[in-house]
Amino acid sequence: MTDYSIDITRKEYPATASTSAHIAIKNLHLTLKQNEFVCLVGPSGCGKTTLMNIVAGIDQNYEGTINLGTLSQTDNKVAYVFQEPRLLPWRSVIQNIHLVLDDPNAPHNTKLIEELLELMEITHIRDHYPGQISLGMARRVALVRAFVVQPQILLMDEPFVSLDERTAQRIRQRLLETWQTQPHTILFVTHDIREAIYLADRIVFLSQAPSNVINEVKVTIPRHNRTDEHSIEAFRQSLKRIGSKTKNYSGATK
Amino acid sequence: MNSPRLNACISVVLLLAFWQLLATSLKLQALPPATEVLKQLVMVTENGQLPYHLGITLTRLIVSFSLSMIIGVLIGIGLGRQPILDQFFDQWLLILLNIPALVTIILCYLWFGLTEAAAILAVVINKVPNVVVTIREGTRALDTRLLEMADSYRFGRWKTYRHVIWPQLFPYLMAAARTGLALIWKIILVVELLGCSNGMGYQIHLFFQLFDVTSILAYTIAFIIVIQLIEMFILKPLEQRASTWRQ
Repeated sequence: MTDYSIDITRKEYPATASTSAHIAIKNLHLTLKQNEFVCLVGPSGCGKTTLMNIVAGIDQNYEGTINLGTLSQTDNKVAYVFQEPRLLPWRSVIQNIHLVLDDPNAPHNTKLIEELLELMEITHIRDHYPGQISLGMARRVALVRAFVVQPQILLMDEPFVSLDERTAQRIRQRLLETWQTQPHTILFVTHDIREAIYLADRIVFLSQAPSNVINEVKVTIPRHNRTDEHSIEAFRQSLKRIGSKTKNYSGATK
Repeated sequence: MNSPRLNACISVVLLLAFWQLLATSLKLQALPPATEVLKQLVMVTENGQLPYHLGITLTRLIVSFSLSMIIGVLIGIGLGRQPILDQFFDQWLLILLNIPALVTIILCYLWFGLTEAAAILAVVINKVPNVVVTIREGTRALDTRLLEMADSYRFGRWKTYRHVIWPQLFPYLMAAARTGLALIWKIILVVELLGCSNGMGYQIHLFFQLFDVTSILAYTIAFIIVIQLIEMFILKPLEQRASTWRQ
């Protein structure tokens, strides 16, 4: 069991006709422990999605190394929940889910799919096409699609945006349950610090572009206490203090 | 029978009636009445002349159409996916698109002789650039977000082509097939007229020399009917099956 290491020395978007060159990531180092739940927090436009794309293996145009241990690029054990659902519009909900599996009709897969559809309350739209369902529903389908893969690394890029809070909270809980029964590493992008505190083992703060890691904080609240609003709020306040300190700090160390 | 189809029937019948009326009142040799033409159509069908030549032309059509589509789709995808290739070959494409069909046909016959292969090649050269342009457009319009999705879930090349790229290209493919069919029908007749000893084009040429307008029109009608059948029983159902999700 080795850790996953992410080491990006430089990621640049070359200049195009209308934009100048843009360095999205510079000297970003991040280690993910096996089965760790890490939340990435940072200002918008700081390259979080770029980072996710690189880890997912979609974007190979960068300087640096991504070491996902025994996971090879062809392994079907990475799942990625994008900011948008990204379902194939010409395949029904269930067909979209089946597509990511090698053997969708294996008993353990059908059972898992049924269970997840049930949980997300989308069983009734299984034969609908993505164009016929709401965005919130489509997001839940995308989540099912990611979960059925039973990934070793699960990448989630603000997956609960635009879901109503009740549904979001239920899925968060389920995400934690699945994660605890079937441990895997999760890298989770959010702009909602409370969500990060609720979910993460560790919160990683990224700087403005060119982004790097400015701070990492272990969430010390025990998991069974995290439904308590007060402890979350208290932790958030303590983060604020650290946050102002690290800002001064990073200036000094650079 | 629904009303759009009924309307279509009525309009065709009206056209025929108008033709008949005009022909019987003018009494010109150059415009035989519709009834004469239909009689001729039945006659040449029964004596086997029309089916023979139509069959030959249809075979040429199928061969050259399939070749053009396959070559055009492959090149089109290539150019759409590789900007450098595209920049390089764009000029070639423009030149090919602008060479008059008649020139390519004659050149093919001059270079390769009055052979079947030359005839097919002439049609293919005329058609391929159009397919390339359409498919290139479709390839450029591919949704990269879906391609990224396929990538992150490790679909692999074949699965990505089959389930992510192909369905997006399909409407462009249908458009290329439609315009392609119309274009090839027209070009193939010229090809046959200039350098073949059978087929519809050859026959039309013969009738032209004999000033046999009735036969020309009879053959033309047979032609139109065949195209309509292809449209109704091949293209339309294909399109419908592929677009069930668009509701």
